[in-house]
Amino acid sequence: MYPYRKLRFLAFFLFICLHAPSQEFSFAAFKNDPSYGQNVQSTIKKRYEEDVSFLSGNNKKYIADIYEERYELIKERFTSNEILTATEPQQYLSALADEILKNNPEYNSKGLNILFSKSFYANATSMGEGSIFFNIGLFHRLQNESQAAFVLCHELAHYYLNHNNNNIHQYVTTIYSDNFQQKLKSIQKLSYEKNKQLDALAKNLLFRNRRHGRAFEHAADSMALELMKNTNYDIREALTCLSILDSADKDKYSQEVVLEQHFNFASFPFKKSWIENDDLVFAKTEDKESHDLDSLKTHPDCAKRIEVLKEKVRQYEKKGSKKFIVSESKFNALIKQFDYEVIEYCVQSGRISRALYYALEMIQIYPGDPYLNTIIGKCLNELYTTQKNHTLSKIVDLPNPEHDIEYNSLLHTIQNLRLREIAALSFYFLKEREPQFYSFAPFAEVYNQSKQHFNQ
Amino acid sequence: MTLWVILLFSTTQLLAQSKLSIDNVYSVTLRNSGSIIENEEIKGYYFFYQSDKIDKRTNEYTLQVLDANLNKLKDIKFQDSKKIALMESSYNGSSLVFMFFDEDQNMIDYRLYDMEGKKTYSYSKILDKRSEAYFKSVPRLGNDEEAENQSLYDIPNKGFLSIIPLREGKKYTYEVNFYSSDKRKAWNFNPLEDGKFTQAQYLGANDSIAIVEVLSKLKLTSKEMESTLVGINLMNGRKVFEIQTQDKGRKMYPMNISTVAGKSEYIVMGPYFESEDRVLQDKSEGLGVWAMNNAGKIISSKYISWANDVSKYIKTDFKGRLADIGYVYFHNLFQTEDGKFFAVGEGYKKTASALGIATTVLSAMAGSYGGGFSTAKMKVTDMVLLELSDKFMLENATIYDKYNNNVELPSGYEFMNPHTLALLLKTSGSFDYSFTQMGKNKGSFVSGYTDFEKGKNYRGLTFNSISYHDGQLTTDKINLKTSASKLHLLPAKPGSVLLMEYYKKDKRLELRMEKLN
Repeated sequence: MYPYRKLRFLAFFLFICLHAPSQEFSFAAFKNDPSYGQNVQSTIKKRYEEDVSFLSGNNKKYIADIYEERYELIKERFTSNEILTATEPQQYLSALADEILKNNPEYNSKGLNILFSKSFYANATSMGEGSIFFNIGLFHRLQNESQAAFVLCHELAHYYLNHNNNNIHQYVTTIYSDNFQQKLKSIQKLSYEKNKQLDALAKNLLFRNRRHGRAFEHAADSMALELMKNTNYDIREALTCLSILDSADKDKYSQEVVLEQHFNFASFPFKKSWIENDDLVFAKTEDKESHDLDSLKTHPDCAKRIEVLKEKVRQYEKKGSKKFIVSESKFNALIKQFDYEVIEYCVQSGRISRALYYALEMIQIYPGDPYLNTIIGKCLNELYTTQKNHTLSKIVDLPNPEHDIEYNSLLHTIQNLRLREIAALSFYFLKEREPQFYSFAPFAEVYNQSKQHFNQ
Repeated sequence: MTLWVILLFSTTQLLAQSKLSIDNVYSVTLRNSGSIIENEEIKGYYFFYQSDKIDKRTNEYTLQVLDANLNKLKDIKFQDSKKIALMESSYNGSSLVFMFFDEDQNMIDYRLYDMEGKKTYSYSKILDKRSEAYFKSVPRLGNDEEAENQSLYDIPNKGFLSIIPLREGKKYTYEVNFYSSDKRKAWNFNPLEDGKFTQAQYLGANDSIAIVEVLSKLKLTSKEMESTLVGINLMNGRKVFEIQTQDKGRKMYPMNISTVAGKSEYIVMGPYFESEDRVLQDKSEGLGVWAMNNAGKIISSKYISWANDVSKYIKTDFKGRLADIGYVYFHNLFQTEDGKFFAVGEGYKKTASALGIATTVLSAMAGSYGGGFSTAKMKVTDMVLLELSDKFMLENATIYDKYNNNVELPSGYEFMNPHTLALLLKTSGSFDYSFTQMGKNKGSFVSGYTDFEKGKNYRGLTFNSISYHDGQLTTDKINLKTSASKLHLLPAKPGSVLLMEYYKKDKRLELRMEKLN
């Protein structure tokens, strides 16, 4: 065994011990509250209209255009059912936000809409007009409420410091300034090296924008500590939270997904050729390097952020602070629920290859989970149907050097499988589990569909 | 996931508010795009942009290299003459080559890159009067069968072979050039000129020799055509053999060769004719397969005839025509990894044209001679697939039914025989066959063709495929009428096709890779 593999095995073992399978958990997706969703959307619309009506100056049309784009983007998130408006998680998130806001009364909470997004990305966003989206893909990686509070404080800081709007105004002011327009006009008149001059101008603008972006992040971190120190949350968790963000490129249940373990059946053995790939590898190293250019990063490195905050955290640390204030049990219940919601929303939003991958990672920890076993069959059935109709590309990612190696391996397999083989994999996977899960109605439905595909 | 391509428009118009933005001053022009091919397999794509103007004579170019999954791998930027064109690209397992034509300097430039993306070698070839004609006439926006190159071929891990047609007045000949990828080395092979009208086609290579089929006629208008196979030593470019493709009183016109790794023996395949027949005028007798050695000697041969062999699977008439299908034109012949041979063909017939007859009668009544159309027309019929064992025995012949297309012919063409007309159909792209793509190590293949469906649920063009995988043949169909304003289908990595859908209203081009079943 290679040392790396040994380490992975050890990590896997520890992971299993820490996440002792609680097989009694039965996942049922949260049901959104449509009336709450409508109310929130109305307030967001009202705020957008107000923001536009308050605009003045020469560039108000351009700023209004960007505000409109931002509003449409938010609206789309509601329309695509990405925003979680179910009562239980929303009440919890509101209680968490209240805990911060009530201890910082100098900041106005009017116009704030803090919501969970079902997105799998480990991220949270302050849209700038009062909407804050906390992705469940980030929330379910956290270990305690204090870490979640730090994330909220950080996004609230962006809002109170007006970073987003300032950025829009700064961009528009620069682009439509006489100086910039003059530069563009003189470039436009050039017969030669026009694009070279434009590239230099655009790069300069981008560098400036990214530099401001990184400065905004430091400022938001700093203000987040100021907000958090007034609460009774454990401020040290701000640093552990940043460490978690630092490893966010790895999935929560990051495992070596050995496809052969899941899809090798006596009647239908696994074929090594399924995982083969001979993609053209050209100039891979060079491109990776260019991605790492510090000056183009939108966020500073988490290690640097931790270093900057460390002293303040030590200073603000207080005895009697708590990791949990609202509810430890509700927090843990949400973490568990969100593990599944991430997969469920991937399925609902047509990201089938990603849903399948997450389910395969997670099933290694919870092999007896009816939902995970069902969802794997369901994803395979979806692959079958869409491949048959030549729309597979709409629900699966193509292999990409930017993806995780394990995920790429699954994507290559999907590309290599023939239609009949997909039907067979689904059928034999579910057949093997039939005695255990057939009483679970969604399983029976998926299994029966796989039988039809496989003509059984 | 679906890939979205935002179209770049090279306009510099002002905004309504007289304000400029970087986007609408920026101007990039796509010069052309194509596939990166290794051993008949699509490994990636290139997009060749003119990214800036440097001075009166020089442009800046960006050559974007994508893998077969459309992931951008590298942008290669360089400055060059404003009159250069990227002709073709190939991959040989260790190097990529891009073949440029510089019209200013009348030069072909072969630029080789290693897998790290570094330029390793550059080979230039100054064109003379004889070779420039071809490059000035060849289209630079792809060819009929986009899964194949026209003049640039990979020699695995060794280099690249380029075959250039030469023309001087009425003399037509060719030359073969080899450019090494592991060290700076090149050789050139020029045949002895015998004054004949000569064309060369690369058939393939084994470890030591490249095999080229040379078709020659005494004159351009001659109906008699002679085929020879020329074996060229890959080390030094010297001719190893030159043989006429005749055997046991039969003439064969090879279309492909198949090699077995580690063996010097190779298989040559093609339609065959009786020795007195003329290939441009007479129908083929069937399919011939030879096993040959490096000295150009035929070790064994087998002939599958329409009349005696194919007729056991498909009904043929006394003229040797397949019933309802007519004659068969072979588009591709190849051997798969399991040793089997396949021949992909398409039927054609010459029939009377009601339109031609009517216009001829009307013209005669009006006192003029002849109408715009011929009184005969060509009917393109069904697809035919022949399957042979590794011992060259015919194992199956299958007809894939499709809508029979009528191709009206210009006036005067009624006097041409159907086989000459079939060559014209091929040249004009009137056959429905699209392409054949081979899978990894030739373990599988997909042959595609278009059809027209007049069903209750769908009426319009369809793309149809015949796939061979794990010893099984399957078919699939994609409807080409979608909500998009235009849809174009291109060959992609083995087992997939690339669908390009253009939505006119949104000015949006959507590229998606779909697997065939």
